Amino acid sequence: MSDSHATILVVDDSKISRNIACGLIRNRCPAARLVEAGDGTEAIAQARVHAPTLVIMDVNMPGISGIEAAASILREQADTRIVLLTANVQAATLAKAEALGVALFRKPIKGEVIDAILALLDAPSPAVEVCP
Amino acid sequence: MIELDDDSRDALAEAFNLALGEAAASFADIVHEEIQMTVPVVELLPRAELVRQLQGLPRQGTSTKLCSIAQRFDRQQGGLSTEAVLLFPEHGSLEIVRRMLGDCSPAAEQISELEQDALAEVGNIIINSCMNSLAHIFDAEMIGTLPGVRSAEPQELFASHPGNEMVLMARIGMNMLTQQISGYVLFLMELSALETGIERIRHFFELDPTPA
Repeated sequence: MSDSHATILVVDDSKISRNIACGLIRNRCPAARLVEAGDGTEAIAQARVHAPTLVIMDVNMPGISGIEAAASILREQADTRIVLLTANVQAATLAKAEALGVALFRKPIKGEVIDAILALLDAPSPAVEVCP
Repeated sequence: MIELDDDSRDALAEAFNLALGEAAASFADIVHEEIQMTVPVVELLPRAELVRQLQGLPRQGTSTKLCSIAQRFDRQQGGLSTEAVLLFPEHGSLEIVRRMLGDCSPAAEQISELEQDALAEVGNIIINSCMNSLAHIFDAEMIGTLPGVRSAEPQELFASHPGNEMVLMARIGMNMLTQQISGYVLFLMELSALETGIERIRHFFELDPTPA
């Protein structure tokens, strides 16, 4: 991973999902700085403080949704790369991700999913598709 | 008494078969092993009968309690709602959490601490994988609540509903062979939503509208 010193914000209301995602990222990018948030509002606040290179965002969370939080972060920091990582891959969710210009990945969180997400740190622009 | 014609019953069974197959695939992904599925069952029944069926499900161990993870989904434009419930025998839930965590597994006491959170996430993934498929069949956006986790006797699971309330139930069993743990996914649809549900499913399978 070329951008091993990236700051990565992991947003999920499930602590266990944050633990799994952070554990898998740490194994692959030991030098990355990891920041966590448990809901969309906290994610927006953490993004302001840490200016993350990459945000990995759940969609269905208490309070504002991950899509609303992503839109808010992009309004303030347009060059932040955001991916949605969710079990909700309905066509409507995909359309919202597409409108926002963010990639969408399907849970459960596994090594190959994290590999694909981290590969985006090297990619020129986000690809909007459900993957893997 | 509401009755389903054969075409509608077939279409409902196939729709839930597709959706519940997705649930088994997600469950296999979470626990990292092949999951044996039972044949899906689709029937109209009163909630009291549903409870009797749940009480009669095969289980291991001494506890009769079930761990239930439930989410309700409503169509964005209204008129169609469904309740999705993932059920495991209480004794199997910790093993499922351990399997989910895999190499990231923390100490046993931490697993216990995170059990509720992990089960909610297991339910969220499995139930949403079904709902993604159903939303496609319904050609609608289905908005879900967050998953609620509880451990209860089967008769307590639906205590807030009248026992004689009729529901459409779709059920599939999922067996983890190495651990002898069986889980069940239920989709429950109240009769007020059933007509719309059948109409959407018949449309998806390109059947004629329901005969009057």
